[in-house]
Amino acid sequence: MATSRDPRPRRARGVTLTEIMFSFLILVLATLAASGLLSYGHRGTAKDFRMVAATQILTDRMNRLLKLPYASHSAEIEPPENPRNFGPTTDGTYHDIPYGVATFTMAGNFQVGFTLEHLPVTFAVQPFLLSNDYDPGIASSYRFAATIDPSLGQFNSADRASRNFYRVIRITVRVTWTEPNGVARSVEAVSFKADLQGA
Amino acid sequence: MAERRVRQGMALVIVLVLTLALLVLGGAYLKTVSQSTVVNPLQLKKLQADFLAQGIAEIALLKYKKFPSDFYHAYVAYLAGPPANTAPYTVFREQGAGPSANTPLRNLQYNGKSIGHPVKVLDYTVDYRLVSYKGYDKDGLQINVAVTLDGEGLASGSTMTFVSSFTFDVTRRLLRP
Repeated sequence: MATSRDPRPRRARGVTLTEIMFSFLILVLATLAASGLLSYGHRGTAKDFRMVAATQILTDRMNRLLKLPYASHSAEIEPPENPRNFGPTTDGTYHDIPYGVATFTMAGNFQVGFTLEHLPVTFAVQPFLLSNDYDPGIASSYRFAATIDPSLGQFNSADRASRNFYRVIRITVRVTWTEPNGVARSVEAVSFKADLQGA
Repeated sequence: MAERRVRQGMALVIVLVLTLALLVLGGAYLKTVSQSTVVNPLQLKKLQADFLAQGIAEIALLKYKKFPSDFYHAYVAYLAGPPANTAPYTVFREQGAGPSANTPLRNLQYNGKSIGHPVKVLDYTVDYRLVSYKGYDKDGLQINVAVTLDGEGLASGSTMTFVSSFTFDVTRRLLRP
């Protein structure tokens, strides 16, 4: 008759070695899976943070460029018909606005570049005609030219002395960066600056 | 004897319950992470649309500045409605000289590219509104710009429209023939 060394009844002896081994194995697997999930989440959060940082830089640069008057930008675009690029491979400042490498705390380095270019614009207008029967209080007395005069609203000349010289500048800002896995990413925004101060 | 059988294997049961709890927590965490990743591109689209609208409003204001008299009369005639001539204001608001014109506010093309390039602009509209009172010569000129962007990267075939409004103080003087 086989006898056990432990005098306690079987039910009070606790768990068997097999049970412990299986439980431990399952626990290890679950912990590994959980740590994998945490790692994945952390990578996602870090990636999001880089995009937030890039968007912040983009907003800053664009707002600072839009704050400058039209004349400041226009004078920098020479010859007037060619776009003027700043960065992203060279570092520097344009009216105290930095371009090139930008560092954002805990997000790494970004490359900032912007382009300024005159934009040809043609405005369509049916000119108002001041006639003898004109009465400001009666809309039906208003007279307009029958056709649209295309030359009237053209601002597309590269001749600075011309009344048709460009009046709009297109501003493009681009922020690029590289993810740890080598994938290049970028965010960009476009806006316009019009000549509201000139004649 | 039956109680003994029930107690055997409790460690396994406890570990399985713990594992299930971990799985549920992990799933919830993954869902939170995946939902938050969509927010940033949405914010970027909003930002891009805002900057575009701001620029388009500047161009619209430039047009008003260049042709104030034509605008006022076209606008008043438009408000008076039929049989008054509403076409001049429609022309003014559309801000273009036809599809062949090289204008940013109509055909959306510039050197063969969208004016918003590299931002994908599908459409935009400009509308002027005068907030005025006859007894005063001061007006509020409201320029409403609606920009529709391609929802690329967010949802297949989706578009996103953003509306921005800009108000400027303007003064009018009566014309005498």
